[in-house]
Amino acid sequence: MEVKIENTNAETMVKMIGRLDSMNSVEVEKAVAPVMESDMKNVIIDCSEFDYISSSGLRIFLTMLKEAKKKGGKLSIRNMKAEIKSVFDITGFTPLFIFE
Amino acid sequence: MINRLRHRINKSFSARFSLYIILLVGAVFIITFAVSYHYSYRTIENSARKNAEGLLKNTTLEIESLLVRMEKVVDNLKTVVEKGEISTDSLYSLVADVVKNNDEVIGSAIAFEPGYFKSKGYYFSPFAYRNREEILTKQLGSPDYDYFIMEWYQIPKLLNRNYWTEPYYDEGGADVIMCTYSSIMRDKNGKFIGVFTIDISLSWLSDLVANLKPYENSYSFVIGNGGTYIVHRQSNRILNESIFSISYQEPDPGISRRIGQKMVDGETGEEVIINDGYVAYVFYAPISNTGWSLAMVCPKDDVFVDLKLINRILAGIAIGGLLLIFIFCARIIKNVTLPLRSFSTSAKQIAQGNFNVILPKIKSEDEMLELHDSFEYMQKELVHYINSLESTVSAKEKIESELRIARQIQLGMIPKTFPAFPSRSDLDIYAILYPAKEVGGDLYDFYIDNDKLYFIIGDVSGKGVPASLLMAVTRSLFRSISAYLKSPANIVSSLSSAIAESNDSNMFVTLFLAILDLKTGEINYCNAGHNPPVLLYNNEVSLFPVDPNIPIGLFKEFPYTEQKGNIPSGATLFCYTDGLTEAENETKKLYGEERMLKILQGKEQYTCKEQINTILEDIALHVGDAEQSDDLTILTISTFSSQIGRKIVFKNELSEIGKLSKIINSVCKQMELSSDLSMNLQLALEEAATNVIQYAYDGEKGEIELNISKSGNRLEFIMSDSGVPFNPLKMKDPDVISDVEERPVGGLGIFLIKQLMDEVDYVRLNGKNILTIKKIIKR
Repeated sequence: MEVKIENTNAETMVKMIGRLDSMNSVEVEKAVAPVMESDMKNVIIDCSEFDYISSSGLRIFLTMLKEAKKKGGKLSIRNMKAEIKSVFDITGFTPLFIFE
Repeated sequence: MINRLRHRINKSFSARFSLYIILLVGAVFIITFAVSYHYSYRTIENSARKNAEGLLKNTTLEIESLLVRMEKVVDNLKTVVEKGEISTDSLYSLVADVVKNNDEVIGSAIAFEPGYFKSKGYYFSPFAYRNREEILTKQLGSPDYDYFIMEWYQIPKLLNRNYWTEPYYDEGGADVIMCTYSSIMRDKNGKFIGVFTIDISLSWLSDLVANLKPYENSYSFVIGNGGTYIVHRQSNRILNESIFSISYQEPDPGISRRIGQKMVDGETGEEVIINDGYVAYVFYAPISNTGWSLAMVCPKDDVFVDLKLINRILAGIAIGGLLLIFIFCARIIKNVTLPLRSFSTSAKQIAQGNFNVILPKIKSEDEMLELHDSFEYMQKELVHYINSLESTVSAKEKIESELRIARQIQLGMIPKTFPAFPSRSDLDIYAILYPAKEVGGDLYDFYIDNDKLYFIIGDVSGKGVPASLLMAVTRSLFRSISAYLKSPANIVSSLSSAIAESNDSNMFVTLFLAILDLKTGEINYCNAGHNPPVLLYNNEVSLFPVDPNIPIGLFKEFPYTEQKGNIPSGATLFCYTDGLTEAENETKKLYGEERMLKILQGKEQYTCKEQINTILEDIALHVGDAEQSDDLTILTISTFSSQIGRKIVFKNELSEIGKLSKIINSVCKQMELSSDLSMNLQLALEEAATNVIQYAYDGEKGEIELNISKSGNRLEFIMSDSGVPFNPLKMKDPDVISDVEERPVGGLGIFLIKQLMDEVDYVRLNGKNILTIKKIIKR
């Protein structure tokens, strides 16, 4: 699992690569901590190379969304694979997020 | 505007050079001018002083000589009176003659002591005076005009000497300013008998002083004994004001008072004053006998008026001259440097590739000609150089493009498509090969024949094209020899002798060659001087035991030894070339075996691709910006015997999730399930396992058992633990409807299992929590 964070003027791009399971969720939580500490004006999570998510990963997504809402920022998801999207659907996450 | 000028000066050599000359000549001008001004100033000041002194002297002399003449007239005539040689009545004609014969004299009297002539009574003073052209006489003394108390009578008598009175205004008489000279008369016993006087109008003095005007705005004045003005251009000051009283009207009274004091004291001198706002020199000198003093005021501007004019003319000449020099210099330099501009244009054209540009013609035989010749030489050399460079470049490009093709061919020889065996659930294999140059001497290869995996990893000595040729040979020989020889040692021996046969350049290859039985995990291998592979199993890393055989290609006959071993299910064999352990950073420090083993520790739970990516990332961290020092090749192999029907045991640690995922993946592969279904199974099993790992053992160490079985189209997973009793199915379903703000984080795991799987049951049996998950496989 790898997390790449790129800050440009207008947005913060968080690229999730690989599998986000309970084994590495703590590591990922640490990796996205700087994003959570930022103003989260416009955060985009790029899921084009994101292969797998479990409930511990869902926790991270929801925590980030809550933080963004609290700060009046925006968090959206880009290029999520259908298998993962179906997990979002089952857990009622889909209406909460903006899918680009 | 100024910027444009500055730009022009910076850009233009002629402008800059001219400016330097102007600055230099200008500096010389200014110095000359300053020195000349200084000395001219001094000279003019001195000559003005001398002139003033001369003028003053002449004027005082003139005044004095007139006064002395007047004195003489009286002094000579008085003896006649003193001796009584003349009758009292004749005295009238005597004084009348005095007035008549001297134009400056306006009146003359002989005043005797009271009752000196008994016949003449108490007052006797014959007096003659000028009334227009007539000369009239009268007796002056009377009770109304008691002349004994007059200044002109009383003071000489008291002083007992001849005396000039202070100038006074004669209101009764001639209505002019005048002064009187009284000469004492004595009898033969020396007794005072009276005075012989003459009155002189001071108008002649005014005229004389008014003419004393060396400069246009200069003026002169005369003060009397007490500093009173006798002659002044402002007539209202005459007799009414003194130099001391006037001083109070001035900003600095001290100077005037000092001058006044010195003049009254009869001194000669000069001062500089500020008079009515302008600076002026004051020269003064006494008029002897009278106690008067003459002063001349000369404004400084007037004194130096000529110097100013000269200065203006000089400045005009200087500026005009500098301008001329500037234009002249700029013209000349422009003409001289004209060829330089042409050269500059030529140089630009040459830079654009036009080597045959025609150079400017130089007629002179100076440095310009030299420059011209150098340019010509440069042109020729450039043409020559570019021509040879072009052929070099095209040759190099050809080699490079050939190398690129060679690289493609070389990389095409080795299997690069992963997953290499998508249909096999019992094998995961991944490899990379990064040549340090376009082509390299590393190789790997593998293929499966009869459920046996034949694989090789090797490293040809040296790098680049020669190594790549030998690499290609070695790989081809591996394929062809292993087709009929089924023992690694035999294959290696054949390889070695085939290469050694025609190895004139004494190159060699280190390699690890093995045949792995995928059904049993049994491995037969032969290592020829290659780095021993690493076995990753059960959270442990160990170097695979290898015999010390020499690299191949050195000798035709060498007894290569063969070894046997076992790769357990779930273990990884990590093969590599020394490009890994000897990867250098910028300070030439090697990556090292120790660091490699540390990174690989526990990574058997990763997929082979993940294992390689992990170590590549760590190598990149070590290498930094340094260039890749050697070819780098890694080949990793993991095997799994079928998981179905087996009991699998996990520790209650989150790190076991990777292992679980691999097992589920392998099961899915074996059953040829879709990736969607595969992911759902992985997700459900992970959630179930995570639940046990996190809560069942309350922080203590424990185990989780997993049984996977298959009946018909149904997959069954039974997960059990001996932790605290806990029925996950009794948990309330999580909120999946609320808005973000109210949505609780967590509680989704069990919900996901229930949603994704077809059947989930819990039972507590024999002190164990037993969770059964079933999924129907739809084909």
